[in-house]
Amino acid sequence: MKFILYTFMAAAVGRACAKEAAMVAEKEVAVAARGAEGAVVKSGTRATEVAISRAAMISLRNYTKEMNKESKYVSFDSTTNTFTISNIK
Amino acid sequence: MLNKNWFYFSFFFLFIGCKVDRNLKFNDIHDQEEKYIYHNVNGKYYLSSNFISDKKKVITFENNKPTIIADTTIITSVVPRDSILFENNIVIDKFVDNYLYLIKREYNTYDVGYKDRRFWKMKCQITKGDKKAFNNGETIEVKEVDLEEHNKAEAVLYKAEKGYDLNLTMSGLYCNPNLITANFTIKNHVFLINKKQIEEELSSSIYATILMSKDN
Repeated sequence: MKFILYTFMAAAVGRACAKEAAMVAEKEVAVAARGAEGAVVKSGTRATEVAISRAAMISLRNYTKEMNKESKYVSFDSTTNTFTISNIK
Repeated sequence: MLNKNWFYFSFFFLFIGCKVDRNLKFNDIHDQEEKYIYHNVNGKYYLSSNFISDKKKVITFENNKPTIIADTTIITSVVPRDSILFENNIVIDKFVDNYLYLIKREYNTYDVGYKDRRFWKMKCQITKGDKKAFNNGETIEVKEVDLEEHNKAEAVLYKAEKGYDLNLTMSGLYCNPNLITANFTIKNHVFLINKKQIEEELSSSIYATILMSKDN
């Protein structure tokens, strides 16, 4: 009898957890849509929600170092956060 | 013993219940029509007005199910702020036979925290008029050629800027720019030029596939 109870309890907790995760994923899709549209509005509330992942930033930093290999005309200056496209010296 | 096994079994259920696909794939598709007007001040043509029509479509693929979450056209017509106005300009470099070389400088700042600076020397074919007509004050029409390198550079720039943008605005998901595929195509890039002003018209498209994941 107990294990049936445990099973139902675990399933209920699992479903609740999955639902919450799905809600997070749904929210992220909405944020992605806004990001994709470029309509990004910064607010105090949003700022607390936004977590800049260190790994993602490292990935981007590595990419910007590699950009010149992919196209000799694109570069990134991390001190000014400036992307530059140029075929003029 | 039985209870212990079922305790582990319960955790298995809990684990299965919490496992959801956190990857996010979406297509970002744009068709853009742009028009810029520059006025001549001492031989340099400075941007005075612009008009941009951006027809965009964003499609997500959650659980491999395509869902259109944006299908809009956004029209903007904004005169750049004075501080960056003078950094947006065109200079006529030289006439060579039936070609005209233009140097275009463009500078924009964005709310998300990055700046976009472009210096581009364009080889343009004269499609209406000639150097003599231009010197006589007439309007000539030129069209950018050799677009391949321009398209490639724009695609790389798109990946870098989009990766930067999404990593600032997304929570819990990472965007590796190397996982973005982007095709940028300039369909038509025409300039109407006389001694007073330059009218630039550009139509282009972007087709990008972006993959964001929980793990980097």
